[in-house]
Amino acid sequence: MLARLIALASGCAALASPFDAHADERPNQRTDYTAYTRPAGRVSFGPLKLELGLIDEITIGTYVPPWFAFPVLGSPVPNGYLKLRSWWSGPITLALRGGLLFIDGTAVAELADEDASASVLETSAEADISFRFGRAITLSAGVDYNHLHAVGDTEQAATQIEGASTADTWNSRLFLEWHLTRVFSLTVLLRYLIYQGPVDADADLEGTVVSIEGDLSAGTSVPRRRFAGVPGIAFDWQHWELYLGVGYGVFPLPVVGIPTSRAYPVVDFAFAYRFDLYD
Amino acid sequence: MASGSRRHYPRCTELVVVACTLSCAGPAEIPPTPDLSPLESEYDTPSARLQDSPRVQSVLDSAPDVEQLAASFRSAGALLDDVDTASETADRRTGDGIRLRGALQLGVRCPGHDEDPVYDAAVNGSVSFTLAVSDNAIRRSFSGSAAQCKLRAFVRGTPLRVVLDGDVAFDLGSDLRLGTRWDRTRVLVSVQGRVEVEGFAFSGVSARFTSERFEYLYSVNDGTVILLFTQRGVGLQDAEGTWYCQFGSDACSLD
Repeated sequence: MLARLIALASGCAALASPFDAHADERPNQRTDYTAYTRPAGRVSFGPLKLELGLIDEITIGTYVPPWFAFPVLGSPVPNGYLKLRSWWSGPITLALRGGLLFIDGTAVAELADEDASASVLETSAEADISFRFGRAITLSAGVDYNHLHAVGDTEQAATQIEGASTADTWNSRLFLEWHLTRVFSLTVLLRYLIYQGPVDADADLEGTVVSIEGDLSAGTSVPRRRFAGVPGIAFDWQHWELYLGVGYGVFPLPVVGIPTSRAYPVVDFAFAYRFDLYD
Repeated sequence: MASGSRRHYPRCTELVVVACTLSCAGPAEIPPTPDLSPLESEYDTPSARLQDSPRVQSVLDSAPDVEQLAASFRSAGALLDDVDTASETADRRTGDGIRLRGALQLGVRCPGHDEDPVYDAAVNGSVSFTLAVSDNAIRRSFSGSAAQCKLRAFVRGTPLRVVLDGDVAFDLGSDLRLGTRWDRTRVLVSVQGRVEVEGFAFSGVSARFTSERFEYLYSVNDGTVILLFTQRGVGLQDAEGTWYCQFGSDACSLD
């Protein structure tokens, strides 16, 4: 499937004038779903995400809404990530990204269907590779890993958060950008849920008459759908970027990254203002 | 690189599987459960044919006191009340779209022989059960082990001292969905260990009972019969049907 997509992309690139297939890299490359990072000193600030390119190869960022979640969840949800990309120039770029997110027990109880008596630390990692076919076509592939871990005095984490099964998950994705003009692009995001492991759901009770010790695990009970497809459009102006896609399938919950247990309509949205903090 | 040699790279899928094996949690083990269906069949179809009233009376005279047995087994059945507690406890770990599996270990402290219960395992013993959980339900049968569990039963207001010891197995009749209460329609108990009733010990016995009917599997020369204790009194079921005997009379009649 990947070979066919590459062949298709190559064919499209050959037809896609007015771009020169041997031209330089684009000045503002999308960092979502790709191996690209922000240039040194570049700040991207939007209602959903804040990113800073420390140097060309290192970008740090955080998701904005969770920091202001306390009116809804009772406490903010601190989070952050670090992305490293390969240092060489050329059509192939590699990147690794790691992220952390901490959900306080109060917020877990608000999110989960059941009572939770522990805070949750979510760790994520992803590996990306991007192929650039001139200035017109970019094809990116990536693998994501998410893990939820209960922290605190108790070890009982919520089994479910808003309909998503909490578990170790592995996702893969393919992202295609076709830059029709300098500003406007067509995009297609394809996701495939590789694996979702069951989560420990131990249940313990100590009473006067009875003591209960549970060695349980939880997995999804619905027929597992794994695919998602999100076609979209992208606008890339000098200081503004707008990405919008609508599709369907199993998708990772925003910020938490845990896939939904069922397929839903998917909206992929990003909007930000860019400026240079330093050269 | 020498001519003819090849350098092999692991495929991406293999790397992902290996990495996931190292990092992902595996499903919890579902413990084995006892199969009490053969015993259930013996209760459904006793094999002996007693044919006449004197024979029925003879069997009843030689059998244990069914009324005492009924009270004793029902007191042991009360230990199962905490299955509801286990069901509720596990139910808190599940939710919409979640399938729970694994094992629940129950440790129940026995109340003792005195009028005021003392739930101290060191004094009055205990019973431990292993419940199997599969697909958000507790499986109908499970095994346990009693350690000198002292219970108090009643026959017409008179207390009986009961001691349960050794391996036991239970069958609730149907799987119990997590979060629901056991309907207590019927329970089958198999005691591979020993049950003592006022000092009289029974080993390798079983019973099946509901709130209105108690059945005890009893072996006779040519097969098995079921000793009954119901609101009608003491009865006996063989392959022909059910016999009930008038209290204070030798006459037993077939229903």
